[in-house]
Amino acid sequence: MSGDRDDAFEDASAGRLFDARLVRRLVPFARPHRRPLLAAIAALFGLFAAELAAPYLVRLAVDGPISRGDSRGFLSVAGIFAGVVLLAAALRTAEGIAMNRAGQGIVRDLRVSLFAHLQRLHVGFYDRTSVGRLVTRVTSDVENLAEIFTSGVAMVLYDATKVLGAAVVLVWIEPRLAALAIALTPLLLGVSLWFRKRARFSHREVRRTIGRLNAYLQEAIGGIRVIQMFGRERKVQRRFGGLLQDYLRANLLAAFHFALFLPLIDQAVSLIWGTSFLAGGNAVLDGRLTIGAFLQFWLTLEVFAGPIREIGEKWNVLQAAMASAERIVRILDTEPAVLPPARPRRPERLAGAIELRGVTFSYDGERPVLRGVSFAVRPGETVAIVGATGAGKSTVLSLLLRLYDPQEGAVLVDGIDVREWEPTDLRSRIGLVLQDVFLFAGTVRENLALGRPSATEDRLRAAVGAVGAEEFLARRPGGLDAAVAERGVTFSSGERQLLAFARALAGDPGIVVLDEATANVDTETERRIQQGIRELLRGRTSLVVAHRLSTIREASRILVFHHGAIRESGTHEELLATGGIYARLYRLQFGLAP
Amino acid sequence: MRRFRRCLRAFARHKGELIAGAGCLVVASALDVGIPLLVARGLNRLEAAVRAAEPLAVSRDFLFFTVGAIVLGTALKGIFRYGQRYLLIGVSRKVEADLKRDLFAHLTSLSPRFFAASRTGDLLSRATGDLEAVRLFLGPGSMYAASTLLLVPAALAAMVHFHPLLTALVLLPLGALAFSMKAIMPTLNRRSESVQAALAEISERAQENFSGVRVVKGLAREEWETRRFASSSDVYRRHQLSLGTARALNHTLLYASKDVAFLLILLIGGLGLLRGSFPVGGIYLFLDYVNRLFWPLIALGWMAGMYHRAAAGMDRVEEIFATRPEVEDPREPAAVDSIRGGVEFRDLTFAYDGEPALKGIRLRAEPGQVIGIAGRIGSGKTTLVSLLGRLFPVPDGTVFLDGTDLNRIPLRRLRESIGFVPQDSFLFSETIRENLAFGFDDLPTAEAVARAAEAAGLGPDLAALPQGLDTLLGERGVTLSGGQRQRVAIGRALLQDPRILVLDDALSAVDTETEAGILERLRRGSRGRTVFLVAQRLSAVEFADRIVVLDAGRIVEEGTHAELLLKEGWYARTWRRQRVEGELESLR
Repeated sequence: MSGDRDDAFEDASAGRLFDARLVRRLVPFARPHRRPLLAAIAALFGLFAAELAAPYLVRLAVDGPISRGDSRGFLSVAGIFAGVVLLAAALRTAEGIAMNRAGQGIVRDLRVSLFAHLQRLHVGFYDRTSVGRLVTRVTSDVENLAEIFTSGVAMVLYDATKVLGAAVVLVWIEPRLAALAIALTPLLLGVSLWFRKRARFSHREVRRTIGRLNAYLQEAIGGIRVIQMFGRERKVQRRFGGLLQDYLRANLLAAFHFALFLPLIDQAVSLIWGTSFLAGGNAVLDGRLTIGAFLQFWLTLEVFAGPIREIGEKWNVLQAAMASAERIVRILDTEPAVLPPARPRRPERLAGAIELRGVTFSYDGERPVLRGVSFAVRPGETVAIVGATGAGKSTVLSLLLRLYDPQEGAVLVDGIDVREWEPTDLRSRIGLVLQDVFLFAGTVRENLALGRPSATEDRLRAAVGAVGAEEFLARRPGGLDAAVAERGVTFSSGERQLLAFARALAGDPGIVVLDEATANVDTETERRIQQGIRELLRGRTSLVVAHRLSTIREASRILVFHHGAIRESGTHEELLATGGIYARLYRLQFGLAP
Repeated sequence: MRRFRRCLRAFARHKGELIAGAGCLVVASALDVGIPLLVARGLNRLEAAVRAAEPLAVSRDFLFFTVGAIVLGTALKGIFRYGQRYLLIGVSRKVEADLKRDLFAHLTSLSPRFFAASRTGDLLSRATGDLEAVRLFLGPGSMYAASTLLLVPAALAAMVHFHPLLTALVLLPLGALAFSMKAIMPTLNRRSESVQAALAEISERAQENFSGVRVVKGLAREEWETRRFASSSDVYRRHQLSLGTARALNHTLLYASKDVAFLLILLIGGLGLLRGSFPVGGIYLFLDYVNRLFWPLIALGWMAGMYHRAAAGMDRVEEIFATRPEVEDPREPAAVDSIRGGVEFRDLTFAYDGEPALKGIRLRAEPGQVIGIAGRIGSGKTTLVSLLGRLFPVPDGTVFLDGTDLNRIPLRRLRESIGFVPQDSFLFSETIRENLAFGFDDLPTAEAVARAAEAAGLGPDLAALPQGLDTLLGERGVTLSGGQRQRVAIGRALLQDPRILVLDDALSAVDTETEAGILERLRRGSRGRTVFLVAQRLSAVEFADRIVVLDAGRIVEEGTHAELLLKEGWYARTWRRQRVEGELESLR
């Protein structure tokens, strides 16, 4: 299963903490936002200075004014202290705002670039990838990835500086004491990293077991009829109970790790702290250290240990960010299989001649859907394609639009291979109506215009009028500006088809490509649809996958597809007279007795 | 709290752990307050020693003793904190599991109609998200609240003892914070909702685009779509920035109030120290307690939000529990010895709600007869056979099994006597063997399973699978074709050796040749078994003893295949059309 492979990949790649290649690939997305990023980093360094200054001021106060009983001196030190604290608060706010600005900027750019890249990938890519996964890529993966630049680089840089800076200050205060405290930090580091590993493991277990549990729940809901008909309620309850037990065990394991973590960290801190208290206290008693210096040491030790304590958490964040980055880069590095030509041709006018020359095509590279298909459509002609399900009719349309490239042969429009056309230019000259009409969420107007500059108000109204969609649109509040829900579910299938005709007409296309829907509609709607089709096809080269007798009869020529090849060709009367596949299909479709 | 009754009962089942956990919590909280007192004492002594030049040996011993006590106290506290967290969070997990188990058991008793009326995603979110919200409130939420409520008075008492005025002063910034949080929270919530909404829009846009990729490409709308997506992304960014600003201000406020409290302590404490009226240990104590109380006090404010989410979640869960099963065991069951398989529908009219799906159905099947049921999509075929197993409430006096009203037969007995092959040939993500044996609590013999698989025409398929019967199906295993799935579902029903077999359009995805084989084996193997065959493809019902054609819930045609062909009705027309279709298919 492709899904499984992807999951396995996700887990395997999660082992990496830092991948320079990935980061280098992504730096261009961060570059435009370097100003807020650098501002945030600068603020962080200011904050760092303030954090180290505060303990020093405590020392100054204790050893100076306080020991002398000089309240004025004390107040002035306290004043400076207050200033430092307020400055730190301001810096923290500035850092928060700037970092958010940088992060959100990166998220926005990456998201749009990723989306734009996905738009360039060909339809075959989408056939292989689940929509859910792609949505995850442009939503949560992008957000995770941005952490590399925000909490990742900035915090790692900042934390490393903080630990080193604090260590220097500690040594400056009392080298022997500092050596003692620093020598004990591996203890803290060990606990933090041990926990990171365990936390990841138990998290994964929890995710895995809850995934199974929910999948089973979902499955049981889907199979409720079978469960009840077989009287197996108890059995599935037992099975659910078993999965629940696994889930509970994973959660208890996680609870165990989490419950253990803080006490262990506390213990490590208290050991470091107790040792330095003991040693420091002795130094004070010996007169080697003033009380103020002792306090400074103590407070700076906190600055030193803080980042080490949290290293595990940040490690995991960064790791998740790297995994997301890997998944995103994999998409960004996927080359579109249907490439625009190096020197695309964009003829001024489209005459509308279509030709297929010996086209063979297969979706999976194994079973051919079209085998050596050749035919030509002259400008202005309407050609209907008929055939049983799976005969390859719709595939012809996809190839004409260059959604795929054929393995053999060529598709030509106005005598030019579609692979030499600029794809967007070609497609925007073709009016397309698919079987399953897809409307975008938005308004009717947006759906008809699709952002084409040529789709003026007048033309939209004319198109709506021509296909006979005026009446039902007038009944909707807002008319052309009526809201369209996702996939157009608020419109009936007949209405959706009429809108699709209007959409195609609004672009004033040189070629019309129509995949007729077979949906059941009432007689009145059917009459309107037939009228709409007539309007749409009038005077345009058109290729129609046809199901309607009216459409077929009015076509200049009918091509009968069977198992990926053209078996018959001619007008309705000619084909009926031959008594071949078409004659049979005709009887079948229109219910005439044999 | 009344709405959480069900949870409290579940908690009561874990009384022992609950009490032990609470005990740990009390001890750990006491140590939390006590250890800083030790430190403070040590600091005071150190300061006094330096001032008064006490004999060094005495001070050293004292220092050593104090530090030892602190490290030991921290270790003890760690053990109790660990016990508290592990026990209490563990109990909350167990309660969650209990509730989930009960909820699932209840769900399995509800009729398919309930599931048709609810969205699966919604049910899932009640069983997961809602229960999690309840757990967070009753478990970790209450635990932190309890420990805060223990800490605050104890710490405050100690602080008042040392310096009443400073205590009052320190509480001022905290109070101001609580007050301003109240003012800023609605803004924060509003903005974070806008962010959520903007993200939802982005993901809907992406979803729409990716699933409509053919249209997007076919209409050359990539650029337009990218522009639309970019504008949604811009909106999202704008909302995030405004949320970020509010958050940064909120953080500043949080930290600033703590900073102000610290400044006050250092200022007043320092002045006291300099005048000799306040010991250095006191300063330490205040700093430590304020630090320790700060987050829990703020977190108490979040409890309100947690409570609301939990309450809403619990209400949604209780809504499911309040739904009663529509079909229940008879109160006065009839004595049923052996079931022969005679079925009678006596003027059955049935409606899901509103318009009846079945109207005045009269149909009799003698034991051993094969009844074919045909008709358009939505004509009531599936409803008719579903009622046979009482998947929906059957009106009294309308359906009889061996002359006994269906509603008086024990449910399990009834359903075990029916072998059911559903339209969607639903299978579990388990092995083929487990699927075949679904109707049994214990695995039947390998022979019986193999026989059923053979009868269902699975032989060649199993031979092609390396793991045969032990092949895992579903997302983590192998995906079977529609026809294979249908055959596994048939084998599952056959393995039960039921008196009545129901095939609800169960051969639609099987090719005509295999269909003929399966039907042949069914006919031979099921002598004396009553069979109901629902079919779209009429070739499957041709051999039935009697065929009924449903239209809009009524029987409109009835008879044998030959009789129906003569009637020139829907059956005859459809049969001919399908013949032409079949011919066309076989054309090469």
